[in-house]
Amino acid sequence: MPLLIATLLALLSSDAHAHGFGMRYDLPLPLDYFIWGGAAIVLLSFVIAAIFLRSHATTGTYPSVVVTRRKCPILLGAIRSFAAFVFILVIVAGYIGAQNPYKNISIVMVWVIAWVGIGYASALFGNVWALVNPWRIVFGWAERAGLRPLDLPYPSWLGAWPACAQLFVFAWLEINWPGSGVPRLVATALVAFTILTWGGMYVFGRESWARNGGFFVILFGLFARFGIFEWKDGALRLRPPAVGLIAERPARFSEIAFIILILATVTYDGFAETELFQTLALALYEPLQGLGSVAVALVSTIGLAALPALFIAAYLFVAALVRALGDNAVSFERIAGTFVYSLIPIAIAYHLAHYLSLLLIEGQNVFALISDPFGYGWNLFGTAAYRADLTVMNAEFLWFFSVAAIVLGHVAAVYLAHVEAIRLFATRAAALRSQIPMLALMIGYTMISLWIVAQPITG
Amino acid sequence: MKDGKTAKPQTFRTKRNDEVTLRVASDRKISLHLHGYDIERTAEPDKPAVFRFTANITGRFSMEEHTAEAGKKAHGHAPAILYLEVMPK
Repeated sequence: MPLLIATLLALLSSDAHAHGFGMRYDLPLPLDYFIWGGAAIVLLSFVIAAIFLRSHATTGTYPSVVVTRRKCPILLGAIRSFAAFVFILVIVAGYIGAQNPYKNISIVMVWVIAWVGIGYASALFGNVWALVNPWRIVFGWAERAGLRPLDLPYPSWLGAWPACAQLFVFAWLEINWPGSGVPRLVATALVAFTILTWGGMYVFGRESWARNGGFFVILFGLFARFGIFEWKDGALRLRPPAVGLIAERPARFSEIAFIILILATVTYDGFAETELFQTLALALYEPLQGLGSVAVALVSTIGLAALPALFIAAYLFVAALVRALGDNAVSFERIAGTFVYSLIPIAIAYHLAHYLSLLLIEGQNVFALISDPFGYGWNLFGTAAYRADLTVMNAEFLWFFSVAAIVLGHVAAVYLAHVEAIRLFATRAAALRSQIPMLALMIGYTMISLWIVAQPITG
Repeated sequence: MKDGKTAKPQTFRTKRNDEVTLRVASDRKISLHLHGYDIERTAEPDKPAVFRFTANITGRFSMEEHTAEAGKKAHGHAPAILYLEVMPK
């Protein structure tokens, strides 16, 4: 029996290695940082509520400054061509390059530069994905060359469910899949996704599919609403962070599910590396022993599905409380669909805290890989011998950054929720009262993030 | 270490720039890899693996058995045998 457990433990650890490649050497957050962070979270929440007690009603508009009205077609064209080139390079490298994830440019490009990097860029600066989305770019070229999509209307009952399905699969591949470090397999996953995406664009039209079914478009678009740049009314504008998340219209249920799924999957990514998770997973293996290595996939899938289910249940329960404490005049759908956007800063904050070291350490490997993308021993730019410098970031900086990101994300979330409450409910008293359960939920989500960062990375 | 496995991986803590010596004994021949510092040593029966270095990088680093698949997909990950935490200051 102990031998079996040990074998299962070995299987679990080897397959459940987060990110498939790319180790993080983050030290767990020390207790004093944790306590200061927790205290700041709670204190600032009350400060914000107090501010809203006094200030005037808000219309949900925000100040912005015009940066430029000029679009530079040459620059845009160059960026698009480069994005398409990188996309093709990654797929080609996946198939013809070395299968060692450290010798092949595809792995670091997909999981670090693209997934983590675009997430960062979107959250900080705005909708950069709209600029570099290779699927949209190449399909656009095909249309200019004469391709005519069917342009069927996108069925509204489908909503964001296809995007939810894609996000779930993506999260599974990123977190649970041992193949995520194998270039050939990643390239195949990209090809499959390309077929799906271009198929959707052909049937429904490029922009219609991107807007409704393109899960990267939706996800990075949501992150981008936090970012400080936007293109609006013919000009590039600079705006305060987070204000882009003030809802123009309430999210539908499938969109609510998508947003909660983002929060749950980034949280799960970190949770899967904690000792608590390893213990729970081991307990789940007991009844599944007979299935061998399928048990690993099954347990990790159950975990990945359970967290969003829990988070959605918690959110909907809180939305019902918000409705009850505010005016019952506002419908449940409208409440649930409005406040969900204010959770996004919490997801962004955790994404930033969790992935910074991956971006700054594993991301450095791209410098060497641009000289030898296929692992053939080339040295195109002379950088092939570059090795990642692990001292680029010290532990105290990462601790401070993580806590600051999580606290600020929480502050943004609470602020947004209060703005929405004032807009939604008839009286200020009702609005503030209604926020008590939402505040509790946000403190809950944020403390989960903080707790995870304080756990030693295990497995 | 017995049969390539420890009961539960221990965490050893040290401070940055300390001189570190890690001695790992095993009852069978095993190739060990300390991540981050990227040091590999072999432990054999009666001949423990010795890692000696200056801990100039802060972080939490795992030591794992370096398996044969490392050539095909880098880091055929085995469960951690121990963790070394190098703390700042």
